[in-house]
Amino acid sequence: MKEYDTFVLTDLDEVREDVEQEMLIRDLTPGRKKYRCEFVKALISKNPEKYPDRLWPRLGQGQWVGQPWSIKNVERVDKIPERYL
Amino acid sequence: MAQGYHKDNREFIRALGKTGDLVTIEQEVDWDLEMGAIVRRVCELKAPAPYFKKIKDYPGFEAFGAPLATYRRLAIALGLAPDTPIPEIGKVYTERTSKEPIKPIIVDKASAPCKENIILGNEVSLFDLPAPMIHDGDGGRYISTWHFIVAKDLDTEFVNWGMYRQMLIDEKTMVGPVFPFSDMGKMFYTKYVPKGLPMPFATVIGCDPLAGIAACAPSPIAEVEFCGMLMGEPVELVKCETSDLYVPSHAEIIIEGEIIPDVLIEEAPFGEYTGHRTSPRAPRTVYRVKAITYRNNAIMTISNMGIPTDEGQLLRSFSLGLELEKLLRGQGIPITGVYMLLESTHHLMVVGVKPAYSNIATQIAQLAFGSKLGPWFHMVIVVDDKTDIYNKDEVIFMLSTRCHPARGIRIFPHAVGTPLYPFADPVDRAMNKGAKVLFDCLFPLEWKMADIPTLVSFRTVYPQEVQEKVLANWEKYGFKK
Repeated sequence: MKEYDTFVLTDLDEVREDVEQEMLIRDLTPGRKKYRCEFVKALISKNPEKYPDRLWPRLGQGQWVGQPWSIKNVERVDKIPERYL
Repeated sequence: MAQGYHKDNREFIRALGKTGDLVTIEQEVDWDLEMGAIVRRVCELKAPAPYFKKIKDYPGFEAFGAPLATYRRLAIALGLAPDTPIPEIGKVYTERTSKEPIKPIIVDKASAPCKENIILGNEVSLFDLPAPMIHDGDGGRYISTWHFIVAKDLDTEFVNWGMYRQMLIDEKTMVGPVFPFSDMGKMFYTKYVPKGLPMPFATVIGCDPLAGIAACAPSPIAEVEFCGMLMGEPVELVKCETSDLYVPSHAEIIIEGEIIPDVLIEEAPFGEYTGHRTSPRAPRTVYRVKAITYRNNAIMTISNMGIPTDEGQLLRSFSLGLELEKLLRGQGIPITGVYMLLESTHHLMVVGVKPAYSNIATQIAQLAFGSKLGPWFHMVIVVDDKTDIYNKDEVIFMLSTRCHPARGIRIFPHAVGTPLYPFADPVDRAMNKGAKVLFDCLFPLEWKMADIPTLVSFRTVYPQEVQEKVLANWEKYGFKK
């Protein structure tokens, strides 16, 4: 199981569950690349057991929410135009 | 050397070691919060600067924190004695930066220490540099907190050095705020973006201390020449690997690339110099990296902004105050000086002035708020020419006793602001809106002499001979000197 976190910019009640959505997540795997950011299309749930990986939500000013959610990354999204890759 | 300065970060670190202003930490520290926590505590205690010799996951790299977070370290950076009083440091700064600008010189790549290691193309990974996670809850690893970014205007030869924070996204991408009213913001958003062009940039990390001061200084003089003025000698520059930009040859780490015009990526939050995490997580300017060059055993520099005192607060307070002093003197205002209280995180400017005519305080505020420096502060206190503007107690006393709660406080709404103001409404933060306030602590000139309250202090209500007698006998009375 991998662990990620993400910044939630809406009220937590407004977060959509179980629908594919685009979001920026940070990889929390220890080591040199910890906190590497990636845009993904993903399914998320507030049930920590529903999807294979763990997602820790944070609020907009970095506040730690405390309860983990779960996430399934469907596909990676590249935001950088190809001519700059 | 023509006047006191340190050619690079390493000379400066050695100088701090000699005066007791450095703690060398030999034990391994973690780049993930531990280094940040140490630097934060150093700032809050005004302790010596930490020099980290061993960083977890990053053998071969070192780090240096809070390089200019005290006036002692600022004095040392200028080649002065560590205990030089603040007004004296200001005098030296003003003298040096009031002479002719000094143009830089170009040196060969072979003699440029920042070219000891050159990483290009697919080999580039920002994760090979020990970018710290500075505060828990930050939006990412902030690689650039004590640094500057070099960028060149599209239509002219104007080159800007500016300190714009940068956060890691992935191996080749960084992101950060570039406010539209900043020098780089004006160049990028009004010239490159409308033409759909990327803007070359070079991030300089681990520069010599005076280059850092120059990059923070809100002066109309080009920063590289301003730095030369502070040094008394030309800055040595070397050409970048991937653009026609030039960077200081003795810097520790250079990150080269392009700021791209057609995409924004989420950045922040970040603990800032206002002592708060304020600016919202929002889509911000994207830097795409093409090359990294660095010295052997490169030293990452870290500023940990938060509650006072960090170098962002100290240097901006120092240089904003002195540049505003130049501005006001240049307009013929009979000021005694300008000082920004450090504890105000350069939001509160104190001006001493001879009350030569009515509403002179308003004129001072209008000039200060209307200047290019205006977005960075929002409070001006104007006191008379007999008040010691560097004495916080005296300034608070004058504010509390001489500023009329209605007539003396003047509000300037609808001003330019920054998203960093903790008091700002969320919409104002997003739109760079602000407001300003003047505290006029001058007695109105139309008051008759008999109506003007008399200051009751040892130095104002006793004849000179009585003061001298008391001072001469002070210890004989039984008091300590």
